[in-house]
Amino acid sequence: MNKEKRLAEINKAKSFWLGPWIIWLNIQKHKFLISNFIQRDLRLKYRNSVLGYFWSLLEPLMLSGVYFILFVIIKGSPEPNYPLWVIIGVIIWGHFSQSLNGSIGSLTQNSGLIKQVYFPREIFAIAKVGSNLVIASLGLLVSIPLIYILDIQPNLNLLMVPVGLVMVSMLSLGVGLSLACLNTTNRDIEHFFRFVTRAGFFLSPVMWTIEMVPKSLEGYIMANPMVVPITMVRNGIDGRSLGIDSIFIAYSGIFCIISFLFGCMIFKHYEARAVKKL
Amino acid sequence: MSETVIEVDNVSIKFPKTRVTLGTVESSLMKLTRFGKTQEDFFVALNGINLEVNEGEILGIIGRNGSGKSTLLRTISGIYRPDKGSIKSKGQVTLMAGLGIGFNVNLSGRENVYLYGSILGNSNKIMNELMDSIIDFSELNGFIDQPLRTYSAGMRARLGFSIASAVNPDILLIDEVLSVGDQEFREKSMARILEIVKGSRTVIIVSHNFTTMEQMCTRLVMIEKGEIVANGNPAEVIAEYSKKVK
Repeated sequence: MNKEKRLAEINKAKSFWLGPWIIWLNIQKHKFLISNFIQRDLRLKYRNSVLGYFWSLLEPLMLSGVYFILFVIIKGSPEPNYPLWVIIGVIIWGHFSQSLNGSIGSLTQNSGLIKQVYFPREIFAIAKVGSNLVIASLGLLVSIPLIYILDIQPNLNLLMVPVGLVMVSMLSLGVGLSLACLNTTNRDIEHFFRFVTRAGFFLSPVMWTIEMVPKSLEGYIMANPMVVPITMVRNGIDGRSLGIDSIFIAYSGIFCIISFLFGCMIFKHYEARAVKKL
Repeated sequence: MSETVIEVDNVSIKFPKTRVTLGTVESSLMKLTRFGKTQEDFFVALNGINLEVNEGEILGIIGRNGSGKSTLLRTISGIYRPDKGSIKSKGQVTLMAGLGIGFNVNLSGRENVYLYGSILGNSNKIMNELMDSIIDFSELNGFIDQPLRTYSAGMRARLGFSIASAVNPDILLIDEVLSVGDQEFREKSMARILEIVKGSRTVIIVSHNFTTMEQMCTRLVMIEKGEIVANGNPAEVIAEYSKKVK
């Protein structure tokens, strides 16, 4: 810590705009803690189960099976690659909703620890998003056998996969951090966002793809910042290009970055006040 | 001449009073009608605290329940930000309070050592080096790889104290945890605290146990309603306390 041994003021309020920078420094300083928190999350999630980490593959697989049947009932026989598309959609949406709800509740759920020992509180949300990113990445391994079965030729489009994952992580962390402090006074936030992530499931290309959307609705659909990252991961694995206008890609990218930066600022600004209300 | 390691300068802190409403439909509706109109009440927990602590001191803080002792320790450790005033400190500050809270009951004792260690800012490598001495001091040899939910309350507290005191903080804040464990362990932890202080580090203790406080502390501070009302020789401050309470 403060090894040079000077009398230094602690816990000073810092400028609003410095939020992302402070969080960046804290990540550097507490990377052991973040990795231990992520390991704890993963260990606890699958503890006492025979299949262990296989559940992160099985869960989206089984869920996708159900959606596949649902799709066949409603729309008739889909395209051959449809099962792959749904699985990827389910995994990415799962990452988003778990990360978002987890980081919104990160202060309220850890109030016991927060009141007993000091360390930067954004660590909770960062570790939550981190562990969900690991689970999503493990889940995406399901697509490897499917790529063989469906005879897909992986190509450079695969590079879109990490980009999409990073966008989803930034968006969920940013929105989550900006609301975590408010959630300590108004729990309505977490109830509302549980609904948002459930409704968003249907309004995002999880069960459907952007190709199925009528041209007249495209503008509305693209307002959802999750459309681009989901399609990036999906088409990347499927070996296709993105097929979205660059204006929408830019919009989505900027949306993710700005919400991330603002989330950091808002969290750092209101953190001290929120901790008192725990 | 020993140097100042903690400087609490005119620190005030207040907490918003939250009304506890029962989760009935009626009270929810009441809340909704008042939405946005609630004027906030405040509870002043600390009111203009000035305190300097020197290197090598064992400072005891006494006071009645709810007088602000724990809030002061938490503010010094960085959990709460003062509304007014400032706190300066030198070196790493570690707070030991309600031992076992940072633990996860489904992880083993050993995993919790890593987890708690990293919460206190140490890498797994450092914790590996300290592991043997922690297990030794906590006397949990046979249990360290068992999940924590199988531990008794005393065992958890022992593990907590062993970790927090093993990581060698420059300034150790102890909140009501000296009474953990059995008589033997209490004596051992007191010896450990004296050892920490001997390494020219500093300890602040909050406790209701006046006998140990008088034995250990070099100075006592008495807090009442968020203000320091007495500061000095342990025996004198304790005498004053007994007078006040009567």
